[in-house]
Amino acid sequence: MIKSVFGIFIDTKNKSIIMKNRLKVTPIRKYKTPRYPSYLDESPLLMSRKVTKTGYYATALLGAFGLFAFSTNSNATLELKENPIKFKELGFPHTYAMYGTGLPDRLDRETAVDIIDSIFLANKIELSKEVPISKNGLSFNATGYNEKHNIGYVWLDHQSTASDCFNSWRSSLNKSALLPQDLDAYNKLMKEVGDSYEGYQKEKDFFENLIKQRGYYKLLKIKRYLWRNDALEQKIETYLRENKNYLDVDYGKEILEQYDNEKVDLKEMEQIVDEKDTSIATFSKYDSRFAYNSFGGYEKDENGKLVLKETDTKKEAIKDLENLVQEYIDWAKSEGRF
Amino acid sequence: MSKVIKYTVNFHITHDCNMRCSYCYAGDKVKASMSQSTIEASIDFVVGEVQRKKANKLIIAFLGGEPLMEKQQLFHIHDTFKKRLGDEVKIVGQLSTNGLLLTDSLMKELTERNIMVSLSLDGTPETMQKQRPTIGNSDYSKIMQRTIKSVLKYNLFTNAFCVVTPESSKKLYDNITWIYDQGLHFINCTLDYSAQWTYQDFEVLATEYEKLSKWYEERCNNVEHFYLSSFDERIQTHTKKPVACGNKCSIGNNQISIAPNGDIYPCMQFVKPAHQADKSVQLGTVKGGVVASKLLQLQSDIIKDKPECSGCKLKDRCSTWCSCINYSSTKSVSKASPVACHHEKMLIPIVDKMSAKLWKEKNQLFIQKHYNPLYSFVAQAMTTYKG
Repeated sequence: MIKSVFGIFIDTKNKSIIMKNRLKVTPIRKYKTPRYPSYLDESPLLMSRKVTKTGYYATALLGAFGLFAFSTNSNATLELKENPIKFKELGFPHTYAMYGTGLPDRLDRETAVDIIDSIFLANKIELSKEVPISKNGLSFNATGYNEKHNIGYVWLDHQSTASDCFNSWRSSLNKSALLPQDLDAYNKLMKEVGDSYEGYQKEKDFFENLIKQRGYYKLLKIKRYLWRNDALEQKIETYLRENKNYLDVDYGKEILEQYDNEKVDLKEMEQIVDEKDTSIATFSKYDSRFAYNSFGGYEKDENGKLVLKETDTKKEAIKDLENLVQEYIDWAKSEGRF
Repeated sequence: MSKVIKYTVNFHITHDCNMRCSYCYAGDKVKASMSQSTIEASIDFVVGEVQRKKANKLIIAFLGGEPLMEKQQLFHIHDTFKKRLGDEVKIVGQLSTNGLLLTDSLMKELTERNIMVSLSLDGTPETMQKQRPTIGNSDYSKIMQRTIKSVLKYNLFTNAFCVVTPESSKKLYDNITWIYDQGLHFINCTLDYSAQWTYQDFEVLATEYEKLSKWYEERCNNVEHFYLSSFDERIQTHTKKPVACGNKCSIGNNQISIAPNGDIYPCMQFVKPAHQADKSVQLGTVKGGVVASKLLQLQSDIIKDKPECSGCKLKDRCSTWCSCINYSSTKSVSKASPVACHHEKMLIPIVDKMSAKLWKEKNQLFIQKHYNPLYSFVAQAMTTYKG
């Protein structure tokens, strides 16, 4: 039996509210754009934007036939766009050269960021600067980020990466930095192991262990790997000078947390490139594709004077960076990421 | 290649049926079939319309009641159109049947005429017995086994039409997978929009759709060629929007339904025996023709903006463009169906989530099926070849 109670129709036999009688059409005001290509996006079958109509249909035909040509779990026939950024291309962990001339030149942060921003803007993506990202264990600052489209990038250099992203011939600590009680332990160890390869390894492990244990040593390590980051260097120096409680468990906690939250460490770098949690591109100063050699030898000018020969190598590096940024944006779009 | 101008006519050749489906929109099952004179008048009317509209493709859909209860008339109508319209008009015959009267020899005759058979089938024998009993309440499962085998022998692409009622929604996953396991891999699924759905029913239905989304994913991973309208139609509203949705309702214009007594209605959902018919939606008769003012009124009602949908983000993807759905739910073609509204809001997010996953995994079947315009052509050719 159906009864109306306060305008709601109730089936007393089945004890259920009858939807048809009380349900109203209600518009849904918010709905996220689905994360797969729509009819407005470039067809996933187009491998290149320059493909001809004939080429497109040939691809389409081969793609469909391919499904039948291969048995189940076919990995298929169609080459789709893939993320153009690979971890191994980033050049991290970066190993400092001990010395030497003839090292390649690298794009500086200012140049690279200008170029990357301009390509994003050309694709109608405006970016905010130094945006904190925190997701699924990731915590770092994106160099540029568009919150609406959930896409951005991080320029990987000394300024944006953590100290574990660098290998150096220099040790992270040295004897002179040790606190008295750690120095005793160090001396004892060195006496035991003597001057040997094994001793060298044990010394290294000893230092790394101390860095893990004490905030004080962590700060020293960070300071050692800073490069052209005067503000942070100054901040650490002031803290060290003003706080002599080196053995405190929380020593330097605030600086260390901020550092961890802002910088990309090596593990995070791999996670970002994986693109499972974010749509943030990693462009690296140490990517060999953007390295160039500005020294092209000498030539004589009109007065017969020897001058440095101009080269196009930097322009080529810039072009390569521009292309990679565009490829990334195309890929992200083809994935329905924005 | 000349442009395809399509005209669709639904022939309801009888109100009689050998089943008593609980949700049937076609009204009482009475022994009222199309008379010979009505058949001839209907053919004359349709031929006139095809010529007037310069249509080059005529789709004749045989509906009921159960059309095979009047199989001789069915063949006569089809063959007469062939004779009258010649080779200039491509004729596509479609038959929607419950399959009880289908025999191997009948399937042969239908296939020879290129009449495509669709089976109405709601799921497991248990579901069928509950909501689609035969007149004598006989054991349906054995008949269906024979019928399915027979239709698949002639057409591997046979469509199964499945109606989901509040009762059967509890077993939707079992019903769909059962149909699929019988070899019917092309499944059109629709809700009984006239039913009294409750919020609880929709909660249960959402759980069943979640299960089906996993099942759909598995089919894609196994590269199985299939169609499940509940999911595929909604994916297409995103990937092929202009074709797959929007104001595509052509009822009354390029599509009409003819009742057994010769009355003309805009679509199949409106056809009922004379004593139950809604005369307000009748457009005319095959003998007197379509009443222009009624058709114009209907068309203006159909294209009216639905203020209740204003500002809805899913408006362009929703099924409330369908006049029949709206009518069966609200008794008006221009008022959006609340049942459809709730259903879309529940189902589209499930479908989008699954699709995003398949896309992210670069699932080749998903990509080919939804982005390759040649997919269905190749799939049909290759499946037939393999079969």
